[in-house]
Amino acid sequence: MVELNHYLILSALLFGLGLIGFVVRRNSLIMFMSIELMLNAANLTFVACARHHVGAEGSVLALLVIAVAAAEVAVGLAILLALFRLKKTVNADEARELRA
Amino acid sequence: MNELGMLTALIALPLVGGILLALLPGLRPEPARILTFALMLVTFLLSLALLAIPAGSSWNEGPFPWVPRFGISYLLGADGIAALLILLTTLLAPLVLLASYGHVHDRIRQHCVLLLLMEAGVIGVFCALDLVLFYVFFEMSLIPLYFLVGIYGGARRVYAAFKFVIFTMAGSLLMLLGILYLIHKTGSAAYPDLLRVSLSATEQFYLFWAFAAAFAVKVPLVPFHTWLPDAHVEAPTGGSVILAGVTLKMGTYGLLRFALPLFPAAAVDAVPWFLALSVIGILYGALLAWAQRDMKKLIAYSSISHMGFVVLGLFALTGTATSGAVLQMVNHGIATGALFLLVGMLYERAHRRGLDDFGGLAQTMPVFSVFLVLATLSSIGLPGLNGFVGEFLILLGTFRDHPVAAALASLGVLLGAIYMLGLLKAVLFGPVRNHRSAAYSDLTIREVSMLCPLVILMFWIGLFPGPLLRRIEPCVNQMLEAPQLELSRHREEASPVPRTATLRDGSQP
Amino acid sequence: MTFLAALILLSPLAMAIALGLFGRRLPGRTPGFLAFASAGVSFLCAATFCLRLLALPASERALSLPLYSWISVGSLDLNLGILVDPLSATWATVVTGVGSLIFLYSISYMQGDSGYRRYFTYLCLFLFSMLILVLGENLVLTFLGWEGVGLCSYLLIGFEYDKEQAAAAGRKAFLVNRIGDVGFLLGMFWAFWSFGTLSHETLASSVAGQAVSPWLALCFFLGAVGKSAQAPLFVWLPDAMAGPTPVSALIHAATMVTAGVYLLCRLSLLFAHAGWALMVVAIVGAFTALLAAVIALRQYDLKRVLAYSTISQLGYMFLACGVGAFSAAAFHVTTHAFFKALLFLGAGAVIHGLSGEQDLRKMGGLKKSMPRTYRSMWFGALALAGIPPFAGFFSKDEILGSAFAGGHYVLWSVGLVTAALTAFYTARMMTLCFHGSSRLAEGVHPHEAPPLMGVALSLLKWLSLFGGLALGVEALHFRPLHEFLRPVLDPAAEVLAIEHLSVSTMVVLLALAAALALAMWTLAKHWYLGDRQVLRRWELAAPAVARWIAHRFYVDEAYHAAIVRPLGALSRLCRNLDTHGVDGLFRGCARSAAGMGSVVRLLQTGVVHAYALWFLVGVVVFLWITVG
Repeated sequence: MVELNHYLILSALLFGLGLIGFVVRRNSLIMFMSIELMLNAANLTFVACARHHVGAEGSVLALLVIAVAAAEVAVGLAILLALFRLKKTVNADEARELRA
Repeated sequence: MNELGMLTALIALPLVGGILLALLPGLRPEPARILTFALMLVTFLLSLALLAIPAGSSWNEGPFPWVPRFGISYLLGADGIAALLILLTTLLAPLVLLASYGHVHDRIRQHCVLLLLMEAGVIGVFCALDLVLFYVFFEMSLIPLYFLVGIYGGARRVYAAFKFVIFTMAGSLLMLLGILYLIHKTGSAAYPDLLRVSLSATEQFYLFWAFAAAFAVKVPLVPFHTWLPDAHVEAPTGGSVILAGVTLKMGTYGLLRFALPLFPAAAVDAVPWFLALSVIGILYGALLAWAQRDMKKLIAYSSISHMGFVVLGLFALTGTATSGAVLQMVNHGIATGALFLLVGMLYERAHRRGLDDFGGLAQTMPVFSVFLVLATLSSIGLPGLNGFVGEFLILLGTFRDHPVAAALASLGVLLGAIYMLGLLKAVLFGPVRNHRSAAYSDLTIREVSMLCPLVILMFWIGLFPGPLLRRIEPCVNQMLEAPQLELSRHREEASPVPRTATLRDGSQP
Repeated sequence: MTFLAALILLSPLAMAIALGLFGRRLPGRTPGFLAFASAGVSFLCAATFCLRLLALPASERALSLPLYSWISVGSLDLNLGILVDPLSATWATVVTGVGSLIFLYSISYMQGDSGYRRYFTYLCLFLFSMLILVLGENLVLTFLGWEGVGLCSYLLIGFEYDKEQAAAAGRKAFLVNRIGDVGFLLGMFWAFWSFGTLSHETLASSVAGQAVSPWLALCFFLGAVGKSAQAPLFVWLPDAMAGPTPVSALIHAATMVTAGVYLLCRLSLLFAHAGWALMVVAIVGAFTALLAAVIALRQYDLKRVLAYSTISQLGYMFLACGVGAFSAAAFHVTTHAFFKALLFLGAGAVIHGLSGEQDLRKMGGLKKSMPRTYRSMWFGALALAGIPPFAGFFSKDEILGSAFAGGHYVLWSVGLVTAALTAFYTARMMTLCFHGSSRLAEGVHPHEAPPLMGVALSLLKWLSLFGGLALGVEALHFRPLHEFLRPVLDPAAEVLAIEHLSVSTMVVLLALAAALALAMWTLAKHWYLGDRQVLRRWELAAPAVARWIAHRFYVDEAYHAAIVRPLGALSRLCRNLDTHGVDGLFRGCARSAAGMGSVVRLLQTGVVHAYALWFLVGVVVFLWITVG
């Protein structure tokens, strides 16, 4: 039987993977995917808990996160595209225009 | 009166006009300016109706609930004092617009919008009787002036505008805290309600100084005055006129309307401080003015000196002195407004303002000279002109309880003559130092027509101050009722041991 | 009656406004004639008023004519209105009378000046202000006139404003006067809170019987000292001679400078109750009289000699007030107005005839080329020197007599010495100017003054001769002016219990003074006409004294070093303090806020990973605080 704990461990692993990916990688596309990974880790937790407590709130939240993530992808990829046009690269360290 | 009426109309007319003008980008500059002038003229004519307010009473509009949960409402009221200051505002506004023909050649429509919004804000300040509403108008009048200085000003205009806003905001934030505390404590922001609230001595102390801080910066009282010369020097002529003529009065008006009656005990305790600061301001401002070689700076510092007289009169807490102080607010607006207009006219011709750049203009610009001499004489308080009546009443009223302060302040009258006559001598008399000055044309009809109303008022107030004083005095007495009560209580408590060695009455019994 | 009284004031005012606003198109000398007409109307009204008052019984000789309530706040209620009583009527008559003659003279004198219309506008405005000063029914109105005449004096001294020196002299006069005005203002405040009124009539009645603080009286006295150029505030008057000569005659000799004396007479009752204050007045007056007379001994500018003699004569008037002889002061004001106006107008004729030359060393022998001016000047000079039976003799010796009668023998002897010096410097001036050989510069051709100026001179000439005889000869108990002024000035005299001299003492004193004056006159004439060696020997004997006198005791320099320069330095110090100190403080606040910002902004690296790390740290800290 797959218990709640297994889901939570998997979700923690996924989250950690995403976090490490975000911090370590310089390619902003990969960083972006890492963020998605973390979001999905959270989604997994939501859904697992919803299942465990027999309620709909968790699933609703997961759906909301998916919707937000979709919107984020649209905006984020657009920004990435613009950045690539400007710099001919997607290396995040090359874009330091916000330095004070 | 519980309905919307004249006061709302006076605020709404320039406010709505300004917003509409801002939203009509298709309008060409010249029609916009003429439209604005017409609007200001109508506002002025409407405001003349305020003269019908019976002496000692007021016109009120509201309260209409605004944020009922916190007791914030739309409540306006105008008594004699407010009426005079509103009239001064509505009179100066069209003159400032006329002056803009000489020096505003770009962004004309925006300039008109700013002036209209400014006018609405200042009128609002003078008749708001709800503290939050007052605060809103107080800040609302600040922003157009920021842009007037920052966009249309001289070389260091951004610095000056920034400094001016930071100073004023820093002061008024303290006042906002005070207002929030009052609302928290009483559940109402309406002035009439707050008058009835009794506050403990500690509460009064903190609240009074919070309010006083906002107003002292605005007046400005030494040592919070250093924004004023910068703002004046960089401001365009119209900005200077509004700044000196109207906005400085918001400070003294606030002191009289809110700080004194709402927190009488703390105000009475603070009297020595304010007397000292105002006397220092009078003398220090005058000495500073004397050392200046730039005309606008000279007049700016003279404003500090003259506003010192007003604060002195307010805190002398006698009906005579305080009435004189209110009259002097109007007088200073007229005289200093005229001086700034005149300096502006000269600047438009010569593009310089230094005292050493001119000389002998009496020969080449006789009409200008006559007006400059009159404005100067009004400013130094020559009897027969308006400045004298105010100064005389202030000093007379102050002398009763504080003869030393009055005597020192009288020296300010002397110093005033020194630097203002120095200005006249440098600009009008003596040999012609600047050979280009022969080419300056004398004043045009537009310029003369701007100055004439002010000069007429100088003589009118100097010779027939009765109608004004009849309106001022009862209102002043209402404002001073609480502080004077507090003062007499103080005296009774102190009577077994004479607290101060000031002589009350010169004569031996 | 009201109309007549109002006309005294309105006639010059209306003319000033009319000339100032609409006079630009008037041709030639018309402005002058119009101004003269307005002054004449004013004079006729004032004189009529005097006669009307004479017809009334002594106790009713005061008419208060309020126009409207001017300033009314609290217990202060000031009317704008006029008070005609013997004192103000006398002054008004003298001012308008001498004034109209000077207006007449100016018509010719100022002819051809580019500022002709402006000149007469100011002159009319001056006359109006002076009349307000005299006729105002309360102290504040008097102050209004007081400042008004100061303003006109400022404008008229600086009349030729393209000259640096004239503009500076005008400003100096106004400022020194303003020092006195501060005293006047403080006096008014103090008086108001002590007596509850500022109206002349009620003030007199509420003062009666009260002890007044001497310092209160001295506040007013300070005002009088400034306006009447007494020590130590006399420095502005000699410089004021930069104005046109008729202005010097009208404002700086005959009328405006006597305003201080008017104030003392007006407040005589207050001063009488003020203890030692009157003694101060007397001492200051006597000291000024002597000091100015000494300075006049060595001046070479014709107008400056007259200016110092004016200061000296004003000192006599203050001395008179100080010893309680207020009516003697008023008498001397009147006669002095006649002969000093005459002397100044004569000097003007000389200067006019010499095309602007004012230096006595470059005159001499003018009696042949300017006989009429010469004769007129003689009348004035004899009156000034106090030679009987000219006007000055009677008034001056009445003052000396009063000092003697009051037992102030020191003051009396100072006055007597001054009288001797006066005779000496007057004779010196006349001799240097008209007698001896001509020392004129090349190309100067003296010519006699035009007829209009001559008319004014000859009228004043007869006034200087008979003015004293007609108005009061104390030794004969013939004192019409004093009788006229009694209702106003007697209360003070009663309080002070003034002594009167016996006729025999009086005659002895008169003879002494007259003999002394004559002797000094002859001496001066002899020294300056003939053997100048005596003078040189005197100068060599005491060079320091001679230098001090020639440099007017360095008073101007002392003021410059002690007041003007320190104040200027103080103002520059304030400027530095303000820009570096006060504003520096606020700029420092701003800079420290900006400094903090510049430290914090180092965190803003622009590297996304750094932000992510900070984010991570934040989350850990948050978890640590909330969970752990």
